[in-house]
Amino acid sequence: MVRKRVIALVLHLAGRAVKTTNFANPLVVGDVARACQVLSDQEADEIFLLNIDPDESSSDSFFEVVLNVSRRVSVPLAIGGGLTSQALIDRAFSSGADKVVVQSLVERSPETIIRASKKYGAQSLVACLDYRESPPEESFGLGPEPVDDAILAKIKQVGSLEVGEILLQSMGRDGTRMGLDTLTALKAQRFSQLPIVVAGGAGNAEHLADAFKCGADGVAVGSLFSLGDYNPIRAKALLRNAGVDVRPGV
Amino acid sequence: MSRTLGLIDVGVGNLASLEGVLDDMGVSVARVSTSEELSTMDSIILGGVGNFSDAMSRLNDSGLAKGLGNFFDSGKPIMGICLGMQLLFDSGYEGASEGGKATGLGIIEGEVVPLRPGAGARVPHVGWNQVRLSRSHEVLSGISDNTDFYFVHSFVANTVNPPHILGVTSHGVVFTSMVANKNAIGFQFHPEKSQKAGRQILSNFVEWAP
Repeated sequence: MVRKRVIALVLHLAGRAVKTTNFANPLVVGDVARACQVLSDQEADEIFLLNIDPDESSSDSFFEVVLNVSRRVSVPLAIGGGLTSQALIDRAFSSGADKVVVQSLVERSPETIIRASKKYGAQSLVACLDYRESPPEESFGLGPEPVDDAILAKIKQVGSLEVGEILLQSMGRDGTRMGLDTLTALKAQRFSQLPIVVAGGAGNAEHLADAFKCGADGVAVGSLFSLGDYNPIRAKALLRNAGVDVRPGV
Repeated sequence: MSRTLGLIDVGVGNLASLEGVLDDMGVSVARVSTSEELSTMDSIILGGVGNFSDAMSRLNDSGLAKGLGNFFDSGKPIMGICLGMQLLFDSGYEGASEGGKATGLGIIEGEVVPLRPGAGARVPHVGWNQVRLSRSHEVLSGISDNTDFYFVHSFVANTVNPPHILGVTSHGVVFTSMVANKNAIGFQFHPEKSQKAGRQILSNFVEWAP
Protein backbone atom coordinates (compact mmCIF):
# COMPACT_ATOMS: atom_id res chain seq x y z
CA MET A 1 0.00 0.00 0.00
CA VAL A 2 1.03 3.56 -0.60
CA ARG A 3 2.79 5.12 2.40
CA LYS A 4 1.36 7.89 4.55
CA ARG A 5 2.96 11.20 3.50
CA VAL A 6 4.65 13.86 5.62
CA ILE A 7 4.48 16.96 3.45
CA ALA A 8 6.39 20.18 4.10
CA LEU A 9 4.21 23.26 3.59
CA VAL A 10 6.17 26.38 2.62
CA LEU A 11 4.50 29.79 2.19
CA HIS A 12 5.88 32.45 -0.15
CA LEU A 13 5.37 36.17 0.44
CA ALA A 14 7.35 38.91 -1.32
CA GLY A 15 10.28 36.65 -2.13
CA ARG A 16 10.63 35.18 1.36
CA ALA A 17 9.45 32.05 3.15
CA VAL A 18 6.95 33.01 5.84
CA LYS A 19 4.77 31.33 8.45
CA THR A 20 1.33 32.60 9.38
CA THR A 21 -0.92 32.18 12.39
CA ASN A 22 -4.64 31.81 11.61
CA PHE A 23 -3.78 32.87 8.04
CA ALA A 24 -2.47 36.25 9.32
CA ASN A 25 0.64 37.83 10.86
CA PRO A 26 3.23 36.39 8.45
CA LEU A 27 6.60 35.89 10.10
CA VAL A 28 9.66 35.62 7.85
CA VAL A 29 11.34 32.24 8.39
CA GLY A 30 13.97 32.26 5.63
CA ASP A 31 14.78 31.89 1.98
CA VAL A 32 12.24 29.87 -0.04
CA ALA A 33 14.66 27.91 -2.24
CA ARG A 34 17.02 27.13 0.61
CA ALA A 35 14.17 26.06 2.91
CA CYS A 36 12.76 23.75 0.23
CA GLN A 37 16.15 22.25 -0.53
CA VAL A 38 16.78 21.52 3.16
CA LEU A 39 13.31 19.97 3.57
CA SER A 40 13.92 17.78 0.50
CA ASP A 41 17.32 16.69 1.86
CA GLN A 42 15.64 15.95 5.20
CA GLU A 43 13.35 13.51 3.39
CA ALA A 44 10.05 15.35 3.37
CA ASP A 45 7.86 13.15 1.17
CA GLU A 46 6.65 16.13 -0.85
CA ILE A 47 6.76 19.91 -0.78
CA PHE A 48 3.70 22.14 -1.11
CA LEU A 49 4.80 25.70 -1.95
CA LEU A 50 1.98 28.25 -1.79
CA ASN A 51 2.12 31.93 -2.74
CA ILE A 52 0.11 33.91 -0.17
CA ASP A 53 0.81 37.35 -1.66
CA PRO A 54 -2.61 38.89 -2.42
CA ASP A 55 -1.04 41.15 -5.06
CA GLU A 56 -1.69 39.55 -8.47
CA SER A 57 1.49 41.06 -9.89
CA SER A 58 3.50 38.87 -7.48
CA SER A 59 3.05 35.83 -9.72
CA ASP A 60 5.96 36.71 -12.05
CA SER A 61 8.50 36.74 -9.23
CA PHE A 62 6.83 33.72 -7.60
CA PHE A 63 7.25 31.62 -10.77
CA GLU A 64 10.94 32.57 -10.85
CA VAL A 65 11.25 31.23 -7.31
CA VAL A 66 9.36 28.07 -8.34
CA LEU A 67 11.76 27.41 -11.22
CA ASN A 68 14.71 27.76 -8.87
CA VAL A 69 13.09 25.50 -6.24
CA SER A 70 12.13 22.83 -8.78
CA ARG A 71 15.75 22.41 -9.78
CA ARG A 72 16.94 22.11 -6.18
CA VAL A 73 14.54 19.54 -4.73
CA SER A 74 14.48 15.80 -5.41
CA VAL A 75 10.95 15.18 -4.15
CA PRO A 76 7.63 16.15 -5.78
CA LEU A 77 6.71 19.82 -5.74
CA ALA A 78 3.13 21.10 -5.65
CA ILE A 79 2.56 24.79 -6.42
CA GLY A 80 -0.42 26.95 -5.53
CA GLY A 81 -1.73 30.31 -4.43
CA GLY A 82 -3.36 32.82 -6.75
CA LEU A 83 -3.65 30.39 -9.67
CA THR A 84 -6.90 31.90 -10.92
CA SER A 85 -6.75 31.06 -14.64
CA GLN A 86 -5.71 28.37 -17.11
CA ALA A 87 -2.77 30.58 -18.15
CA LEU A 88 -1.44 30.74 -14.58
CA ILE A 89 -1.86 26.97 -14.15
CA ASP A 90 0.11 26.48 -17.38
CA ARG A 91 2.87 28.74 -16.06
CA ALA A 92 3.03 26.84 -12.76
CA PHE A 93 3.59 23.56 -14.63
CA SER A 94 6.09 25.07 -17.04
CA SER A 95 7.98 26.55 -14.06
CA GLY A 96 8.54 23.08 -12.65
CA ALA A 97 5.41 22.21 -10.65
CA ASP A 98 4.71 18.48 -10.53
CA LYS A 99 1.25 19.21 -9.19
CA VAL A 100 -0.83 22.36 -9.00
CA VAL A 101 -2.98 23.42 -6.04
CA VAL A 102 -6.21 25.14 -7.05
CA GLN A 103 -8.28 27.03 -4.55
CA SER A 104 -10.55 29.91 -5.56
CA LEU A 105 -11.30 28.20 -8.90
CA VAL A 106 -13.22 25.52 -6.99
CA GLU A 107 -15.91 28.12 -6.32
CA ARG A 108 -15.38 30.63 -9.09
CA SER A 109 -14.66 28.54 -12.16
CA PRO A 110 -14.99 24.75 -11.81
CA GLU A 111 -14.92 24.49 -15.62
CA THR A 112 -11.35 25.83 -15.63
CA ILE A 113 -10.36 23.00 -13.29
CA ILE A 114 -12.04 20.43 -15.51
CA ARG A 115 -10.21 21.82 -18.55
CA ALA A 116 -6.88 21.69 -16.68
CA SER A 117 -7.66 18.13 -15.68
CA LYS A 118 -8.20 17.11 -19.31
CA LYS A 119 -4.84 18.65 -20.17
CA TYR A 120 -2.66 17.54 -17.26
CA GLY A 121 -4.62 14.61 -15.81
CA ALA A 122 -6.65 14.70 -12.60
CA GLN A 123 -3.72 13.28 -10.64
CA SER A 124 -1.79 16.52 -11.23
CA LEU A 125 -4.37 18.73 -9.49
CA VAL A 126 -4.92 19.28 -5.77
CA ALA A 127 -8.06 21.10 -4.60
CA CYS A 128 -7.37 23.22 -1.51
CA LEU A 129 -10.26 23.96 0.83
CA ASP A 130 -9.69 26.49 3.62
CA TYR A 131 -12.30 26.34 6.32
CA ARG A 132 -13.23 27.43 9.79
CA GLU A 133 -14.40 24.67 12.06
CA SER A 134 -17.95 24.99 13.34
CA PRO A 135 -18.43 25.23 17.09
CA PRO A 136 -18.42 21.73 18.64
CA GLU A 137 -22.19 21.55 19.17
CA GLU A 138 -22.82 22.00 15.44
CA SER A 139 -20.23 19.54 14.13
CA PHE A 140 -21.01 16.86 16.67
CA GLY A 141 -21.59 13.33 15.43
CA LEU A 142 -20.65 11.26 12.40
CA GLY A 143 -24.16 10.63 11.13
CA PRO A 144 -24.85 9.61 7.55
CA GLU A 145 -26.22 13.02 6.51
CA PRO A 146 -24.05 15.80 7.89
CA VAL A 147 -25.72 18.36 5.60
CA ASP A 148 -25.14 21.13 8.11
CA ASP A 149 -21.45 20.85 7.60
CA ALA A 150 -20.27 23.35 4.98
CA ILE A 151 -16.86 21.76 4.55
CA LEU A 152 -18.34 18.34 3.82
CA ALA A 153 -20.56 19.87 1.16
CA LYS A 154 -17.46 21.34 -0.45
CA ILE A 155 -15.59 18.04 -0.23
CA LYS A 156 -18.46 16.34 -2.06
CA GLN A 157 -18.54 19.11 -4.66
CA VAL A 158 -14.81 18.65 -5.30
CA GLY A 159 -15.48 14.98 -6.02
CA SER A 160 -17.09 16.01 -9.31
CA LEU A 161 -14.20 18.26 -10.40
CA GLU A 162 -11.67 15.67 -11.57
CA VAL A 163 -8.90 16.56 -9.17
CA GLY A 164 -6.45 14.04 -7.74
CA GLU A 165 -6.48 14.93 -4.06
CA ILE A 166 -7.89 17.33 -1.48
CA LEU A 167 -5.91 19.61 0.84
CA LEU A 168 -7.96 20.65 3.89
CA GLN A 169 -6.59 23.67 5.75
CA SER A 170 -8.09 24.56 9.12
CA MET A 171 -7.70 28.33 9.42
CA GLY A 172 -8.37 28.29 13.15
CA ARG A 173 -5.53 25.84 13.79
CA ASP A 174 -2.99 27.35 11.36
CA GLY A 175 0.23 28.21 13.23
CA THR A 176 -1.18 27.22 16.64
CA ARG A 177 0.44 23.76 16.97
CA MET A 178 -2.66 22.72 18.97
CA GLY A 179 -3.21 19.48 17.04
CA LEU A 180 -4.79 18.70 13.66
CA ASP A 181 -8.51 18.59 12.94
CA THR A 182 -8.93 14.82 13.16
CA LEU A 183 -12.73 14.95 13.13
CA THR A 184 -12.82 16.56 9.69
CA ALA A 185 -10.10 14.15 8.47
CA LEU A 186 -12.26 11.25 9.60
CA LYS A 187 -15.37 12.61 7.88
CA ALA A 188 -13.50 13.57 4.71
CA GLN A 189 -12.06 10.13 4.14
CA ARG A 190 -15.54 8.67 4.55
CA PHE A 191 -17.21 11.08 2.15
CA SER A 192 -14.57 11.22 -0.57
CA GLN A 193 -12.73 8.59 -2.58
CA LEU A 194 -9.79 10.94 -3.12
CA PRO A 195 -6.59 11.04 -1.09
CA ILE A 196 -6.97 13.54 1.78
CA VAL A 197 -4.19 15.85 3.02
CA VAL A 198 -4.82 17.85 6.20
CA ALA A 199 -3.01 20.99 7.36
CA GLY A 200 -3.16 23.32 10.33
CA GLY A 201 -2.17 22.71 13.92
CA ALA A 202 0.55 20.04 13.75
CA GLY A 203 2.62 20.54 16.90
CA ASN A 204 4.33 17.20 17.44
CA ALA A 205 4.58 13.68 16.02
CA GLU A 206 1.60 12.47 18.05
CA HIS A 207 -0.59 15.03 16.32
CA LEU A 208 0.53 13.67 12.96
CA ALA A 209 -0.05 10.08 14.08
CA ASP A 210 -3.57 11.00 15.24
CA ALA A 211 -4.43 12.51 11.84
CA PHE A 212 -3.07 9.49 9.96
CA LYS A 213 -5.00 7.12 12.20
CA CYS A 214 -8.15 9.13 11.45
CA GLY A 215 -7.72 8.47 7.74
CA ALA A 216 -5.56 11.31 6.45
CA ASP A 217 -3.34 10.14 3.58
CA GLY A 218 -0.95 13.04 4.09
CA VAL A 219 -0.30 15.78 6.62
CA ALA A 220 1.10 19.14 5.51
CA VAL A 221 3.39 20.63 8.12
CA GLY A 222 4.35 24.32 8.39
CA SER A 223 5.38 25.76 11.78
CA LEU A 224 6.60 22.47 13.17
CA PHE A 225 9.39 22.35 10.57
CA SER A 226 10.04 26.07 10.09
CA LEU A 227 9.84 27.25 13.70
CA GLY A 228 10.08 24.11 15.84
CA ASP A 229 13.01 21.81 16.50
CA TYR A 230 11.46 19.08 14.33
CA ASN A 231 12.49 18.07 10.85
CA PRO A 232 10.96 15.49 8.48
CA ILE A 233 13.51 12.78 9.35
CA ARG A 234 12.76 13.07 13.06
CA ALA A 235 8.99 13.31 12.57
CA LYS A 236 8.97 10.17 10.42
CA ALA A 237 11.19 8.21 12.81
CA LEU A 238 8.74 9.00 15.63
CA LEU A 239 5.78 8.11 13.38
CA ARG A 240 7.31 4.75 12.53
CA ASN A 241 7.72 4.07 16.24
CA ALA A 242 4.04 4.94 16.64
CA GLY A 243 3.13 2.31 14.04
CA VAL A 244 2.40 4.65 11.12
CA ASP A 245 3.51 3.34 7.71
CA VAL A 246 5.74 6.18 6.46
CA ARG A 247 8.62 5.98 4.01
CA PRO A 248 11.77 4.78 5.76
CA GLY A 249 14.93 6.88 5.64
CA VAL A 250 17.15 6.50 2.59
CA MET B 1 32.74 12.31 -28.43
CA SER B 2 30.07 13.33 -25.98
CA ARG B 3 26.83 11.42 -25.95
CA THR B 4 23.53 13.28 -26.02
CA LEU B 5 20.40 12.17 -24.21
CA GLY B 6 17.18 13.36 -25.85
CA LEU B 7 14.16 14.31 -23.78
CA ILE B 8 10.74 14.00 -25.38
CA ASP B 9 7.79 15.67 -23.72
CA VAL B 10 5.04 13.18 -24.54
CA GLY B 11 2.44 15.22 -22.69
CA VAL B 12 2.30 18.84 -21.69
CA GLY B 13 5.27 19.21 -19.31
CA ASN B 14 6.81 19.14 -16.82
CA LEU B 15 10.35 18.19 -17.79
CA ALA B 16 12.11 20.84 -15.69
CA SER B 17 12.85 18.54 -12.77
CA LEU B 18 14.08 15.70 -14.98
CA GLU B 19 16.28 18.15 -16.87
CA GLY B 20 17.59 19.51 -13.55
CA VAL B 21 18.61 16.08 -12.23
CA LEU B 22 20.32 15.11 -15.52
CA ASP B 23 22.12 18.48 -15.67
CA ASP B 24 23.40 17.91 -12.14
CA MET B 25 24.76 14.56 -13.22
CA GLY B 26 26.67 16.26 -16.03
CA VAL B 27 24.64 14.61 -18.78
CA SER B 28 24.36 16.42 -22.11
CA VAL B 29 20.59 16.82 -22.60
CA ALA B 30 18.59 18.09 -25.60
CA ARG B 31 14.84 18.55 -26.00
CA VAL B 32 13.60 16.61 -29.01
CA SER B 33 10.47 17.52 -30.96
CA THR B 34 11.03 16.09 -34.46
CA SER B 35 12.06 12.69 -35.78
CA GLU B 36 15.10 14.32 -37.46
CA GLU B 37 16.35 15.50 -34.07
CA LEU B 38 15.48 12.12 -32.59
CA SER B 39 17.68 10.22 -35.04
CA THR B 40 20.80 12.13 -33.88
CA MET B 41 20.34 11.17 -30.19
CA ASP B 42 22.25 8.44 -28.36
CA SER B 43 19.44 7.66 -25.93
CA ILE B 44 15.93 8.89 -25.24
CA ILE B 45 13.71 9.52 -22.22
CA LEU B 46 9.93 9.95 -22.65
CA GLY B 47 8.52 12.10 -19.84
CA GLY B 48 5.74 14.55 -19.10
CA VAL B 49 2.19 14.41 -17.87
CA GLY B 50 -1.08 14.23 -19.79
CA ASN B 51 -3.37 11.51 -21.10
CA PHE B 52 -2.64 8.48 -23.28
CA SER B 53 -4.81 9.27 -26.31
CA ASP B 54 -3.80 12.95 -26.56
CA ALA B 55 -0.15 12.05 -26.16
CA MET B 56 -0.32 9.44 -28.95
CA SER B 57 -2.11 11.90 -31.27
CA ARG B 58 0.68 14.40 -30.73
CA LEU B 59 3.41 11.79 -31.29
CA ASN B 60 1.67 10.61 -34.47
CA ASP B 61 1.17 14.17 -35.79
CA SER B 62 4.80 15.12 -35.20
CA GLY B 63 6.11 11.90 -36.76
CA LEU B 64 7.78 11.01 -33.46
CA ALA B 65 5.73 7.82 -33.02
CA LYS B 66 7.24 6.36 -36.20
CA GLY B 67 10.64 7.83 -35.30
CA LEU B 68 10.54 6.13 -31.88
CA GLY B 69 9.78 2.79 -33.55
CA ASN B 70 12.90 3.21 -35.71
CA PHE B 71 14.91 4.38 -32.70
CA PHE B 72 13.89 1.22 -30.82
CA ASP B 73 14.83 -0.94 -33.82
CA SER B 74 18.25 0.73 -33.94
CA GLY B 75 19.00 -0.73 -30.49
CA LYS B 76 19.65 2.56 -28.68
CA PRO B 77 18.33 2.91 -25.09
CA ILE B 78 14.81 4.27 -24.52
CA MET B 79 13.31 5.03 -21.11
CA GLY B 80 9.64 5.81 -20.46
CA ILE B 81 8.56 7.48 -17.22
CA CYS B 82 4.94 7.37 -15.97
CA LEU B 83 2.81 8.26 -19.04
CA GLY B 84 5.99 7.74 -21.08
CA MET B 85 6.16 4.16 -19.86
CA GLN B 86 2.47 3.59 -20.59
CA LEU B 87 2.93 4.73 -24.20
CA LEU B 88 5.53 1.99 -24.77
CA PHE B 89 2.67 -0.55 -24.68
CA ASP B 90 0.36 -1.66 -27.49
CA SER B 91 -2.72 0.29 -26.42
CA GLY B 92 -4.43 2.33 -23.72
CA TYR B 93 -7.94 3.26 -22.64
CA GLU B 94 -7.28 6.72 -21.15
CA GLY B 95 -8.94 9.49 -23.15
CA ALA B 96 -10.06 7.08 -25.89
CA SER B 97 -13.58 7.28 -27.28
CA GLU B 98 -16.22 5.37 -25.33
CA GLY B 99 -15.46 1.65 -25.18
CA GLY B 100 -12.45 1.96 -27.45
CA LYS B 101 -8.76 2.20 -26.94
CA ALA B 102 -5.92 4.17 -28.48
CA THR B 103 -2.95 2.54 -30.15
CA GLY B 104 0.37 2.95 -28.35
CA LEU B 105 3.98 2.68 -29.55
CA GLY B 106 3.86 -1.13 -29.42
CA ILE B 107 7.42 -1.48 -28.10
CA ILE B 108 6.31 -3.65 -25.16
CA GLU B 109 3.37 -6.09 -25.20
CA GLY B 110 0.43 -5.11 -23.02
CA GLU B 111 -2.33 -2.56 -22.56
CA VAL B 112 -2.95 0.32 -20.17
CA VAL B 113 -6.13 0.16 -18.09
CA PRO B 114 -7.69 2.14 -15.22
CA LEU B 115 -6.31 1.31 -11.76
CA ARG B 116 -9.15 -0.36 -9.83
CA PRO B 117 -7.75 -1.25 -6.43
CA GLY B 118 -11.02 -2.07 -4.66
CA ALA B 119 -11.98 -1.07 -1.15
CA GLY B 120 -9.54 0.75 1.10
CA ALA B 121 -7.07 2.01 -1.51
CA ARG B 122 -7.55 5.41 -3.10
CA VAL B 123 -7.22 6.50 -6.72
CA PRO B 124 -5.14 8.26 -7.93
CA HIS B 125 -2.30 6.29 -6.42
CA VAL B 126 -0.29 9.23 -5.06
CA GLY B 127 2.80 8.98 -2.90
CA TRP B 128 5.72 6.75 -2.02
CA ASN B 129 5.36 3.02 -2.44
CA GLN B 130 7.64 0.01 -2.60
CA VAL B 131 8.77 -1.84 -5.70
CA ARG B 132 9.37 -5.56 -5.47
CA LEU B 133 12.05 -6.65 -7.93
CA SER B 134 10.99 -9.44 -10.29
CA ARG B 135 14.37 -9.84 -11.94
CA SER B 136 17.71 -8.10 -12.25
CA HIS B 137 18.58 -5.56 -14.93
CA GLU B 138 21.62 -3.37 -15.59
CA VAL B 139 19.59 -0.19 -15.05
CA LEU B 140 18.57 -1.50 -11.58
CA SER B 141 22.14 -1.98 -10.43
CA GLY B 142 22.43 -0.88 -6.77
CA ILE B 143 18.64 -0.83 -6.22
CA SER B 144 17.50 -3.02 -3.31
CA ASP B 145 14.31 -5.04 -3.24
CA ASN B 146 11.34 -3.10 -1.79
CA THR B 147 12.86 0.36 -2.31
CA ASP B 148 10.34 3.25 -2.14
CA PHE B 149 9.65 5.37 -5.21
CA TYR B 150 7.20 8.22 -5.87
CA PHE B 151 4.03 7.41 -7.83
CA VAL B 152 1.24 9.61 -9.14
CA HIS B 153 -1.10 7.89 -11.60
CA SER B 154 -4.60 6.51 -12.19
CA PHE B 155 -3.85 4.00 -14.99
CA VAL B 156 -1.67 0.89 -14.96
CA ALA B 157 -0.12 -1.61 -17.37
CA ASN B 158 -2.02 -4.86 -17.74
CA THR B 159 -1.46 -8.20 -19.53
CA VAL B 160 2.28 -7.63 -19.57
CA ASN B 161 4.32 -10.55 -20.83
CA PRO B 162 5.92 -11.95 -17.60
CA PRO B 163 9.53 -11.96 -18.91
CA HIS B 164 9.17 -8.20 -19.49
CA ILE B 165 8.18 -7.46 -15.88
CA LEU B 166 11.06 -5.99 -13.87
CA GLY B 167 9.13 -5.08 -10.74
CA VAL B 168 5.69 -4.89 -9.17
CA THR B 169 3.94 -2.68 -6.63
CA SER B 170 0.94 -3.27 -4.43
CA HIS B 171 -1.86 -0.72 -3.98
CA GLY B 172 -5.01 -2.70 -3.34
CA VAL B 173 -3.97 -4.71 -6.39
CA VAL B 174 -0.50 -5.76 -7.52
CA PHE B 175 0.51 -4.04 -10.75
CA THR B 176 3.58 -3.86 -12.98
CA SER B 177 5.65 -0.85 -11.94
CA MET B 178 8.80 -1.53 -14.01
CA VAL B 179 9.13 -3.15 -17.44
CA ALA B 180 11.87 -3.82 -19.95
CA ASN B 181 12.08 -5.28 -23.43
CA LYS B 182 15.46 -5.33 -25.17
CA ASN B 183 16.73 -1.74 -25.26
CA ALA B 184 13.54 -0.20 -23.82
CA ILE B 185 12.79 0.23 -20.12
CA GLY B 186 9.82 1.84 -18.37
CA PHE B 187 8.94 3.05 -14.88
CA GLN B 188 5.44 3.82 -13.63
CA PHE B 189 6.98 5.88 -10.82
CA HIS B 190 9.09 9.03 -11.16
CA PRO B 191 12.84 8.33 -10.74
CA GLU B 192 13.50 12.09 -10.99
CA LYS B 193 11.29 12.66 -7.91
CA SER B 194 12.53 9.68 -5.92
CA GLN B 195 15.67 11.03 -4.27
CA LYS B 196 18.80 8.83 -4.15
CA ALA B 197 17.32 5.61 -5.55
CA GLY B 198 15.72 7.45 -8.46
CA ARG B 199 18.96 9.22 -9.24
CA GLN B 200 20.76 5.85 -9.20
CA ILE B 201 18.35 4.54 -11.86
CA LEU B 202 18.88 7.60 -14.07
CA SER B 203 22.62 7.34 -13.67
CA ASN B 204 22.55 3.61 -14.54
CA PHE B 205 20.44 4.40 -17.61
CA VAL B 206 22.96 6.97 -18.83
CA GLU B 207 25.69 4.28 -18.63
CA TRP B 208 23.53 1.52 -20.14
CA ALA B 209 24.76 -0.05 -23.38
CA PRO B 210 22.13 -2.65 -24.33
